[in-house]
Amino acid sequence: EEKQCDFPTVENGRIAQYYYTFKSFYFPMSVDKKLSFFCLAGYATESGKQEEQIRCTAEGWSPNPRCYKKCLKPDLRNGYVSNDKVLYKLQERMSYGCSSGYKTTGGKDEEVVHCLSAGWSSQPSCRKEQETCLAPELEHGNYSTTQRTFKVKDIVAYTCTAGYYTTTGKQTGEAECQANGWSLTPQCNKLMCSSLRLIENGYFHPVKQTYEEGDVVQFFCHENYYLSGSDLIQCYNFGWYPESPICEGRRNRCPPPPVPLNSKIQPHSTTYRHGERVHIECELNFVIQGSEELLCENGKWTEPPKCIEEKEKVACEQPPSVENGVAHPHSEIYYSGDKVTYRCGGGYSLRGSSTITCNRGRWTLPPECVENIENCKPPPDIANGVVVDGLLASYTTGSSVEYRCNEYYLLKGSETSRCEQGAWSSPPVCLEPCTIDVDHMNRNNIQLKWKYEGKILHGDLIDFVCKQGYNLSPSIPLSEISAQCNRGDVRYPMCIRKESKGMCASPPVIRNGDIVSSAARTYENGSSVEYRCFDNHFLQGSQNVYCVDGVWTTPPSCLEPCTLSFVEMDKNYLQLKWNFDNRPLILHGEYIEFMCKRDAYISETSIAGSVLRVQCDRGRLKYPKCTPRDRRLSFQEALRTRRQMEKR
Amino acid sequence: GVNLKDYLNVTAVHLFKERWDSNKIDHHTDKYDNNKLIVRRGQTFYIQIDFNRPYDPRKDLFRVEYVIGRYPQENKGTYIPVPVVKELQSGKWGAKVIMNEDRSVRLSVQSSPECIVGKFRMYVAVWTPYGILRTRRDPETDTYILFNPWCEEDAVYLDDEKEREEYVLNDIGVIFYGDFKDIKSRSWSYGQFEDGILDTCLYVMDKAEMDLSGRGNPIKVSRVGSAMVNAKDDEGVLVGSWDNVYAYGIPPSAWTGSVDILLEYRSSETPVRYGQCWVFAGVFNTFLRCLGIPARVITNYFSAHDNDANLQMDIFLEEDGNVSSKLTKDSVWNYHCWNEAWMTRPDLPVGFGGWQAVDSTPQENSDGMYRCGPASVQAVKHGHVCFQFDAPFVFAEVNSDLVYITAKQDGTHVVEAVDATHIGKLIVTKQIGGDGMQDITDTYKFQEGQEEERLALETALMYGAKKTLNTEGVVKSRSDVTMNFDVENAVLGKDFKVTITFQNNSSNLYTILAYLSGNITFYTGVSKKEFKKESFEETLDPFSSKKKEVLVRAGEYMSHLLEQGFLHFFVTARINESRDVLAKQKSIILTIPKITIKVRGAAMVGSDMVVTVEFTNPLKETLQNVWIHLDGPGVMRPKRKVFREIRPNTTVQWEEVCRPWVSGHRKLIASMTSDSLRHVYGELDLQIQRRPTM
Repeated sequence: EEKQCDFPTVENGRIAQYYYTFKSFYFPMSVDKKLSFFCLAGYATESGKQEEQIRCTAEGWSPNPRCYKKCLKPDLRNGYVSNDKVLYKLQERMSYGCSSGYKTTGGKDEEVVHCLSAGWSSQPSCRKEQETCLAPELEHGNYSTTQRTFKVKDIVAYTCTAGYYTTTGKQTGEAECQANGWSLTPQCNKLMCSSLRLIENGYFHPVKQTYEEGDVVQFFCHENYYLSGSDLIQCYNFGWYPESPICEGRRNRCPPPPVPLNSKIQPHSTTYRHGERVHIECELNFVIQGSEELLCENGKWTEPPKCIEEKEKVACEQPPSVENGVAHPHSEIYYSGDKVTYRCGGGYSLRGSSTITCNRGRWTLPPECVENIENCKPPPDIANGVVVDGLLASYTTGSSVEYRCNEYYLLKGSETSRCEQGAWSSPPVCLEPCTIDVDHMNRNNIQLKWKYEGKILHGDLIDFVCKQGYNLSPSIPLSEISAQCNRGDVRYPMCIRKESKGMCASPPVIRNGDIVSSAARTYENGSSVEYRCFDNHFLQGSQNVYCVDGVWTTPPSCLEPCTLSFVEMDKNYLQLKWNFDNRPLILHGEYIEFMCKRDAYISETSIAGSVLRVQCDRGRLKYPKCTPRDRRLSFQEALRTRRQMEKR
Repeated sequence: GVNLKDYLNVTAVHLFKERWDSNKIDHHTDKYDNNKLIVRRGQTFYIQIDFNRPYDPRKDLFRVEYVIGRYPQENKGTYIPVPVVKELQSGKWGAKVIMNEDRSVRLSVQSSPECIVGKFRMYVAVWTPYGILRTRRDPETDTYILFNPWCEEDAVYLDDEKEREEYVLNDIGVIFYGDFKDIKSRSWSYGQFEDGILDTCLYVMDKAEMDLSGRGNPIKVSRVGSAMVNAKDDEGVLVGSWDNVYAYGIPPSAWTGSVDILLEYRSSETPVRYGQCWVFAGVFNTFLRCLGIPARVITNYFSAHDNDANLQMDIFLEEDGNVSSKLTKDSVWNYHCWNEAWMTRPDLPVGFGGWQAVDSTPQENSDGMYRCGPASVQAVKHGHVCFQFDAPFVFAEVNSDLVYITAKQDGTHVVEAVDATHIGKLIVTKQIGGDGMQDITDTYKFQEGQEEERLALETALMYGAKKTLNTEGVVKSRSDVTMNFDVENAVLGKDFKVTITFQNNSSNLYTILAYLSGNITFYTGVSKKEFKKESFEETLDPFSSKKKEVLVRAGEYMSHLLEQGFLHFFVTARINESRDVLAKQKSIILTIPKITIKVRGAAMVGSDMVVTVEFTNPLKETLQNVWIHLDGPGVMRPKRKVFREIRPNTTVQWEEVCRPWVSGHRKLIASMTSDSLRHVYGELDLQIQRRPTM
C-alpha cells in the first residue's frame, strides 16, 4: 500500500478539524481514501457546492480541492429573474427585470449584471417609482369619498350594497394604503351558495346555512364507506363545484394491467372488472416465467410473469406417431413455433387439436384418432351467443365446442360444451347488458352521473344523480341512487321536486338550551333554526337544525358543567395545582389539574401528571385518589432503587 | 351558464404501486407489506393520469400536488405543488411528461431529496378561468415518501450497495450481548416491512408532536426517535425496567423482535412494558430502517455509566479490601447496546458525517428529555465532544478509567489503582451479509497506548469533558505479589470452581488475607445479591506461587438468579506485611440451555409448514409461568404461548402451522421466559423457496 497524498491545503476552505490535530496519524494518505472539504461562507466548490469529497489517486487529490467566490441569485422584491439558477460562477451573466411601477438599479425595466470576484457588477434591486395606492373599482359598493389615489398611511372607508359583503364578511370596510399596496384590497362579494343536504353514511364540515364564494366544505364517510366524488367542494360564483359526493361501498375495477418487458397483452380494454382475465404472451425468443394469465381480483391484478430471453434454440424431435393416423412432416428439424398437422384414417376421427406445435424442445399434445361412434348432433343454440368455430354436421364423443357471447354480453358458466356419448354438457348463458332508458330517467327526474364508455354490462354499478331542483325521496336511502345492471334490468331510483315536500312542525325542544330564532307555526323545507345553550353549558353537535323533507335534523345537546367539590377533594387528599382552576364551574371538556396534598402520594405507577389531570365529562369529574403517606420503609426502598436505575 | 366540461377533467390516476411495479422495485420499497405507493425522495417515479379528453400542452395547465398534515403550507414543505416541466432539475420537485397518448398522460415525477418523510395525500389540480379544480381526495393515491440512501443528494446517502442491503433492507439482525470474555448473540426480528409498521413509525413521530417541517431532516428524526422509543417523559414506545419484577408486562428477555412491540404501541396508544437496552436498540433500529435511514445496533462491552460524567468510574474499597457497595455509585454495564444511524451533519463543521451514535435507552437527561444523540462517532473518536448532541456522554461510555479507591476510616480516600483499559473494551456490530461479529472498536477509539489515544483525551478535556482526578502518575509502585483469578465455564444449574492464583516475585515471605465476593448482577452491573462471601488466609514463600480453589454450588446461586445469569466476582487481598491491597473483578455469564426449533413440510412461499418448538427444563426445580415467544418475519406473525409449569427434566412441545410469504433466507426466533429462568433463546435458519411458477 503506497502512501500518496499529503495534507491538502484548501484556499478559502478547510478539511475536518481533527486532521489538523492528528495530522501525522492520517497523512500521507493512501490511494482510494476519501476525505471531505468545505468552503468558507461566500465561497463554493467548482460545482457550486459548499462541501465536497476528494479522493486520493496516484496523481494526488482528485478533484483538486479549491473554493471559488460565488454570486448568489438576488432575492428580488417586485422583480423577477428569468433564470432558475441560484448560484453564479465567476464571469457568469444574469438578467433581471422589475414589475410595473418599479425600476432596476440602473433605472430601467430590465438589466444584465455579471458576477465579478467581488460580487455582482451592480447589486440588483427593484425600487418603487412612486408611493401611492389606487382604489380599485367597486362593482357592488361605494367609497366614502370620491378621491381615488391615496398616499401611504391614508385610510379609505367603503360600504357594500345590500347582499354584498367585504372580505371580512362585514357590510362596511376600511383599507389602509401601505408602501406595498392596500392592507386589505377593498372589494364587495355576494353570498353565493345554498345550504348543503346531509349525506347518507357520512357528514360534512363546516355546516352553515349559507356559504360565501371561496368557502370550502369537506366531506367524510363513516367507516367502511368510501367517498365517491370530491371530498372537498368549493363555493364559486356559479355555485358549488364539484357537486357533493356520496358515500358508497368499494368498487372492484382494476387499473391498467402491468405489462412485463418483451410481452404482449390480450385482450386490450379500457376498464377491467373483477374476475376478468388478460393473457400475457412473451415475444418471440422470450420464455415466460410465471403465470400466463393475470386475474383482476378485488381491484388488484395477480402477480405478472416475467419474459426471459431464451438462451439457445432447442429443436424438437420428430413428431410423435399416432395410431390410425399420420403426420404430415415438412422439415427435417423443428424449432419453437413450427407446426405439424395430423389426419386420421378412414372410419376414425380426430379428437383434440389436429396440429401440434414445437415449443422449446417439446411438442404440444398430439391428437388421438378414435373410431366414429355415438356422435353428437350440432350443439344447442344459446340466446345472444354463438359457437366459435362454426358448426359441423356431427361431433365425435369427447370433442367440444366453445361458445362466445355477443359483444357486451357476459358469459356465465363454462365456455365449452362437451359431446359425451351423444349428448352435450350444458352450454353457458349470456347475461344481457343494460341500455339506459332516457324516457324512464326523465320520468324519474334523474340523469346519469358520468358518461359511460360503451355499454353497461351485467353487474356494473350505474350512478345516477337527481336533476336540478329535484331530491331523492326521503324514504329511499342515498346509496340507492346507484343501481346495478341485472341482466338488462335497471331499477331506476326516483327523485321528486324539492318544493313538493313536507313542511316541518315546531322544532324539537332540548334540555339546558333554547331556540334563538323566533318561533313559527310551520317551517319551510330547507329552513333552519338556531339553538343556544344556557350559560356555562357546552353545545355538542350542530347549532343549526334544518327542516329536511318534513323532518328536523338532529338538534344539538347542551352538556352540563361540573362543579368543583372541596369535600370530594379532601376525601381524596387532593388540592388544586393551579390557582386559576379555583372557580365554581368547569365547562364540559375542560381540564382541571390536581396535586396530592402534602404527605400524600398517588399510587398509580404510570406518568403521574396525566392521572392528576382530569376532564369534565357531562357534569361529572372523576377525582383521582391520593393515599396518605405512611412511614413504611419497603415503599421508600422501592422508590430509591427505581431512582437509581433511572440515573443509570 | 358555465360549462366546466370544456376544461380538462381527471377521470383516473394510476400510480403503478403493485409490488412488482418499477416504482416499488427501483425505489427498493417492494418489501413493504403495504399496498400504497411508497417512494424514496430525490428519485423519479411514474404516474399516469387519464383525462376526459386528450391533454394539449399548449392550452391545458395542470399539476400534481402533494399535501401532508392539517395545515398545508408551501413554505413549510407540507404543501408541494409539482410543476410540469420540460426537463427535471436535480434537487427539485418536478414532473415531466414522458408519454401523451389518447387521453392519458404518463409523468415521471421527481421529489426533492430534502422533502419531508411521511404519508402524503395526492391531488391533480387543473386550471380553469374560474379557479383551480382539484381531484377528489382518494386514499388510494396516498403516497409515502421515505429517506433515500440510494440518492446522492439525500442526507442519508450511503454509497455501498452491500451496506445498503444490510443497514436498510435487512429485516433480521443479530444483537450481541453477554460478557467480553463470553460473547453471546441473539437474533432480532426488526420487521420494518411488516404490515402496519411503517404507519406505526410515522405515528411515533406524530405522538411526539414532531413538527412536520423537521421530518425531512435525519438529525431531527433520529433525535426525536431516541426520545420516543423510551416511554420516559413523552409516553413513548417502551417502558424500561431493570428490577427483575415485570408484573403487568412482558419481561425484556421475552421479546423476539420489534413488530409485536410497535403494533401493541399503535393499537393501545400507551407505552409497552418492558424493555432493556437491546430491546430499545432493536425497536429504534426498526424505526430508523423503516423510514429509510441506514442504521445498525452496536454493543459496547464494559460500558461506563458515569453518573457525574467525570470520565472516571469510582470503585470504593473498605480498608480491609472488601468492596463497599454503599459508596460505589457508578456502574460498569457488562454490555450496553445503542444504535448508529448514517447521515451527513450539515449542522457541524466538515468531517463529522457518517455514523452517528443514537441511544434510546433512558439513561441521562439531554436538554430536558431522556434521549441521546445523534453524536458523531468521528467526533467521539477524536475527542471533539463539543459538537451536539451528547458527545461527552458517549465519550465517557467508551473511555472512562476504572479507579479503585480505599475509603479509610478517618474519612480520607486513597487511590489504590487505576485501570484505564477496562472500559469500552470491545465495540461490535453484526457483520455485513452474515451473522458474525464485526469489531468496530477502532471507529470509536484509537488503539490502547497509542499517542493518538492521549491526544484524543486531551482534545476532549479541552472541549469541556471533565476529569476531576489526574490519573497520570498515581500508578502505585508494583507490589511484590500479583494476583489473578479464573472462573470455570459455568453451566446453569451445575456447580463450578473459582481458582485464585498468587505469585510472590520477591525473596520475602508474605501472609495474605483474601476475600472472594460473588454477586448476582443485572447486566447493568448493578448487584442484586451477594450469594458467596468467603475469606481465607494464605502464606506465600519467596518466589513461589499458590492456587486456591473455591467451589460454588448450584444451590448457592440458583434461588437468587436474575434473568441473564450474570455472576460477578470480586477478589481483594491485603498483604499483611506491606499493607498493599490487590483487587480484581470478573463477570461471567452462565451457560443457559437452548430452545430447539424444527420445521416440517415444504419451506415454500404460500404452502403450509409446521413449526415445532421444544424446550427441556434442565433445572432441579419446576419452572412456573413459562411464556414462549415465536417470531419469524415473512414466515409467521409473532405468536406466544403459556405453559403453567414445566417439571424438572420434562420437555414441552408446541406446534404452529404457518404459511411463509417472503422467499429467501429467513429466520425463526424463539425466546422463553419464566418466573425463575429467562434469556433462553433458540433460532433456526430457513431457506424459503419461491412459489413455483406454472
